[in-house]
Amino acid sequence: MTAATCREVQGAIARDDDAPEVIAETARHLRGCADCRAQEQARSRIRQGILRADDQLDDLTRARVLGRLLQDRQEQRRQAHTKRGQAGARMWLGWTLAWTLAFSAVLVFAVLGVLRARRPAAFTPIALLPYAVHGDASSNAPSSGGLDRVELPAHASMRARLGPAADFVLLGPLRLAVRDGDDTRAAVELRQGTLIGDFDGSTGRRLRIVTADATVDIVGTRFLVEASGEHTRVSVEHGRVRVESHGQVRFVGAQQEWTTDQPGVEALDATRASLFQRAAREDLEELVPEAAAAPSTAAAPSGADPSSPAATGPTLAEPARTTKRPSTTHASNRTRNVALRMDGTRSASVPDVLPQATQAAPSRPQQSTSPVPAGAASSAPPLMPALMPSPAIAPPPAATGTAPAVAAHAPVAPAAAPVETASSLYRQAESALGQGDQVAGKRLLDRLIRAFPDQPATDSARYELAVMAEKAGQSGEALAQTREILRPGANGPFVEPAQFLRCRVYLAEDRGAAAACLSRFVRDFPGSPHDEVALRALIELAREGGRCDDASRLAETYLQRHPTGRFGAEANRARSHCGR
Amino acid sequence: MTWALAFGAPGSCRVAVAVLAQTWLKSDARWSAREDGASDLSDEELIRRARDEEPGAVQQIYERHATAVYRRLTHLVGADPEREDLMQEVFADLFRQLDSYRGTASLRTYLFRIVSNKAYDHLRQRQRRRRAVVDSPGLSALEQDDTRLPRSPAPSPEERVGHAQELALIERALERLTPKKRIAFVLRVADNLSLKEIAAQTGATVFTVAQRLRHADRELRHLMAQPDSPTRKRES
Repeated sequence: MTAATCREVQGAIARDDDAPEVIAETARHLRGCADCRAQEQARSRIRQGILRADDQLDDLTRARVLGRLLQDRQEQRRQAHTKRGQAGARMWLGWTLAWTLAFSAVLVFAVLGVLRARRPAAFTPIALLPYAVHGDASSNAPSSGGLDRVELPAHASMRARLGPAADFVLLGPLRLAVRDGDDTRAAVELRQGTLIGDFDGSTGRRLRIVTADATVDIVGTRFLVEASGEHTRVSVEHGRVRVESHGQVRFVGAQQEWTTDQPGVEALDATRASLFQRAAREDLEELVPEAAAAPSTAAAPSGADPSSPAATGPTLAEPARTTKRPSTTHASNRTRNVALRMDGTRSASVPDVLPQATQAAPSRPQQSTSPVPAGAASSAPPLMPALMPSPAIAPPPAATGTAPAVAAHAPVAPAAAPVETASSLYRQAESALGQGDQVAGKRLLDRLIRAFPDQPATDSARYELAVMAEKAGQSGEALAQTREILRPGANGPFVEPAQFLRCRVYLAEDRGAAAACLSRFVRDFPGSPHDEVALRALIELAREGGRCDDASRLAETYLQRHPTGRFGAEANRARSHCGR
Repeated sequence: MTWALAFGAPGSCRVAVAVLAQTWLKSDARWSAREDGASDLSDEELIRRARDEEPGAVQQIYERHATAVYRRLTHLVGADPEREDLMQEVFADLFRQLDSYRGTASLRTYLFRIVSNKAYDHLRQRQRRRRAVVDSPGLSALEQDDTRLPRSPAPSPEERVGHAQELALIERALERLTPKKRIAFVLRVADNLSLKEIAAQTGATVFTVAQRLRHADRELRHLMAQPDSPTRKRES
């Protein structure tokens, strides 16, 4: 045979049409061709190698996978059921709504018209939620707990959130009112003062700031609006805003600013750039270096505009004290966490305001958490003339009123420990057992069982412990664990393996109990992969007890269930020996 | 022999019989004695019941085919520790697709098709992760675990070392094949499937399967002769 033929014959691996004569020829050829024999041997070695890998599915894996599958399926069914229910409810609701709407549309429009006509001008579905105040501040609060108007004296500043997307730093002297808004749009009137804003317009939200002579539309950016009675300055750090003033429209882009009395847009001034950076540090004290100088009494602040409603409106029962977000690590004796309190009829709302505000503080990442060195505030350059330190220096806030003073710098809470779940414990135990650390593995499994007695992983843990106990010869422990798995009403995937394990343990201890256990096993689990061996053991035990009839009957059962089983010949012999 | 002893001298051999029975039971803990459950229901009937969400149907399908699926997965991907997860994915896919199973092929064939697809995805991921073969348990890992091979006589230390080296060599060679060639080769050589069956399970034509087999055979022989040489990895 030529080399080409040899290749062809060997290539039969890739053909299905091996006729008997081809096979015979191959065999003949292999006898005489050392090269071909070597090739065939190599292939045979590979085949043996593949088949030698352990491909037997053990009980633990089998039951564990089944358990997960059943759990998965149950979850799918639950979700499908929920979806069906929701679909039905939606359909019913849809029809009901359609009919209701059809019959009452005119009425609804009429009612809406009346309501619109009677709606108060300052209707504010959303409100400012202050979460940090520095210096003296006065504000009124609606019954909902937020603020629809803020007035800050000189040297005071406030951080507040407006809706889900806007975060403001307000620098006094300032007068601001929330005009209108909901979760998608908001309008703020800034009569006087400086507002540094961070607005996320990514989901279509819009923010409008109205000043005396300009309307600023913001879609999503970091910006500053500084309003005086005469003109408005708009500065932008990121993004772009639209400003309309006196019939002129200007677009102010990143690192630009425009003052309404100036002809064109200019580059961002260093003072404003610095202000942006300081606001980003989220440290009000740095923005208002002499805030502690604010009066500590309930008297109207010296820098406040006497004509402002704040002078006659509700004021803080005690001076506003600064608040800081817990994550700020800057240390300062002049900065404390406080709870603000209002006097008069509105006092009840304020203890709710700041806690709420603090809890609802925007969750955006801290832009800078680097600590500011002591004294940095006083050495910082003045932000703008209005924020220059006031000569009236207030006493230290330690002497202030009755508001419960919280510790100056609440320690940063330690990172929460990862939540321990049944799955995580089981994984740890598996890992420990995989590394041969039986003690740690057993301890973790025990902990799992104690902590999560009703979880799907618990039976798996019990079964593993039972197998370990059986291997260690601790039959009592093995039986105890399997008893838990086989508790009344149990129907999990580990019931069958646990029952079989129990029978194995009994066989070493008590023949009678083993026979009863195995009988129950072959009755309850005829589909078990262990059925064949269980039947064979039962036959042996029947023989051992001299119960030939039982042995014969069991052999009959074996042959019916496993006509091509491994022990078929022996079962036949057992049956014939007993005269059947 | 055991049975003859037992029946020949019941009194004297009781202990021996009991001990042997116990030995069988213990060794069976790692066995999967049977691929088919004792249930008389056909696969089609079980599928129908599972579709109707009758209790126990899913378990019976699983019990009936789990062993074969696990064995096929082992042949295709080796003794990979992720076989358990792969098996779960195979059955999860099956139960998810029960409604689309039309019975044109047997359930076992349908399952093996899912197995081949899962194995292919897994082998591709494994190659992409560039997992070093020496670090993976592979074929040889469980060879060292006597408890998992109850039917094998205990080999001598020299034999064990020889086996381990041989398996490592084969494992490295198989790992260097592309997943498609590997699957075709294993199905043909280890599971004795015909080209048509392989084509049906892998979704390729018979001609393509034959080409893959030829290439795989040639590359493997080459690799077995020179185990450390680099292999061209190109899909047929």
